[in-house]
Amino acid sequence: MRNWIIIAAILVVVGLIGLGVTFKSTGFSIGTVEIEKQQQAVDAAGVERIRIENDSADITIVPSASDQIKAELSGNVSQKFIDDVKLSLKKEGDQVTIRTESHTGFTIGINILNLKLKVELPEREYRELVLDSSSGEIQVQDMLAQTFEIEAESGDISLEELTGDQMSVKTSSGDIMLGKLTGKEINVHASSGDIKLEKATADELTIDVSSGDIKLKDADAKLLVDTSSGEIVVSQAAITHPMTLSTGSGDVVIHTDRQPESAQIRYNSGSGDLVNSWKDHKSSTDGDDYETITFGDGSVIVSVETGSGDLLLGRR
Amino acid sequence: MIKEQYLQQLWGQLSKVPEPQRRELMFDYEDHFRIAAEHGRSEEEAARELGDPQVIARELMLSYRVVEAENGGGVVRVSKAVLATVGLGFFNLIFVLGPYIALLGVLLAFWAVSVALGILAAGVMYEGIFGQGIPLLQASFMAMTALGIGMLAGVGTHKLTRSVFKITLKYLRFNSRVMGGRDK
Repeated sequence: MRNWIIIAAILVVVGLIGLGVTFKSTGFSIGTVEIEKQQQAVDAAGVERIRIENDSADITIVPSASDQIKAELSGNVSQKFIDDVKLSLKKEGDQVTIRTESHTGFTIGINILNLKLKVELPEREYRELVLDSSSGEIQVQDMLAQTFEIEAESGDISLEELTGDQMSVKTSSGDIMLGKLTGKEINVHASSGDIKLEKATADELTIDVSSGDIKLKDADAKLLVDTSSGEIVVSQAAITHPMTLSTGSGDVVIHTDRQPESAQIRYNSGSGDLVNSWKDHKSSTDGDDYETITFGDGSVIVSVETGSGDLLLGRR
Repeated sequence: MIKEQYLQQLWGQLSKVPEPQRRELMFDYEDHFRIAAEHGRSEEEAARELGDPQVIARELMLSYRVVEAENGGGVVRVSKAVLATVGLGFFNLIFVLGPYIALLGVLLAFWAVSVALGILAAGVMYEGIFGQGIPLLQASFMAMTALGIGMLAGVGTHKLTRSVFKITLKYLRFNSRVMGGRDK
């Protein structure tokens, strides 16, 4: 027993000294190698549908002035993966499919895959833009398509200036940041992650989060917002569209520039208070614990339900 | 005859104990009947004085197991002793076996830490030699440190384990009437 202790102590001391000395001279870095940039391009004529399937690269989709659809894969990876990373771009009929593959299989040791995929699409309207990603950050800017379908298993998503009819954005784990969206039906879903939206115009905006906060600024649409655990903050000029806001646990905040002109706010909560900063309204409570506040003739219905959380109405 | 039946039952209940030790345990009880007869008491009376042979057998089993564990206690022997105490009452199931299993769980966790550090050392060395992630020299020092800490953790856990077993056996002794515990 004593021998073990002595040997162990020596190992620890020598090891720590050695680490200290080697770190000082070379610093700690896990060695990776830069992969050769892979580029593929195809003529965009007749292309209506774009489909991108991604393993683990960070993706950026931007418009381009040329008439070619371009994809570029770059980054750095552990030495052993250098031949496993592949970019493919295929045009079949009116669809272009871009695929990044990194089939690394089962490996022992340190595995690093740090890849970036940049896709440039000519500026025009497409029928469909579908993005299916396992992991990696996604950034889409300035695109026009009838249908957007963006789905990530893990990774933050940032969409800026998208115009279309149907938009569906999903991530299992990651934040979603949306700016300047114009559409008819916008569907946003995150299992775990915050949602932040600034400026959207749509017929209907549906947001569904299991765990995470939701912040909507200037969302000009009928709102159906739900989070099981997290806050909902709606900030806009006035209440013009109906809203259904619900949280399992978390506050709901509705901030407007002026007092709502004509809205009926119905609030139901397991445990929470209605805090109203506006003055000119009628309030009532009905037997089922529904508190109702009516502004003007109450034509726009705002329905708020929280398991445990307050409703705060006020000026933004 | 009552004496024969009683002693037969006792002998049968102790079937798990090897014959030499079994004979030793039985000696006091054979003697009890002999002394009772000398003092003019009947066999029935003597049997009644001793009590239920099943209960006595369980207590004797416990004392046998505890002695075995004290003589070379690994987790198996100590556990057998703890299990033998369960036969003596429901109380022991909850207040002795329960905590004992919990303690075993904690000890297992500590052992796992020690083993994990060893695996870490091996993994880091592997990466240092075959992979390009870490320079060999750095990997060696990392492995040394991990191995050293793992060994120290192992020594610590070994000592802790010994203490836990020692305390457990002491408690079993203390709580047993047969082994000279409180109630005797």
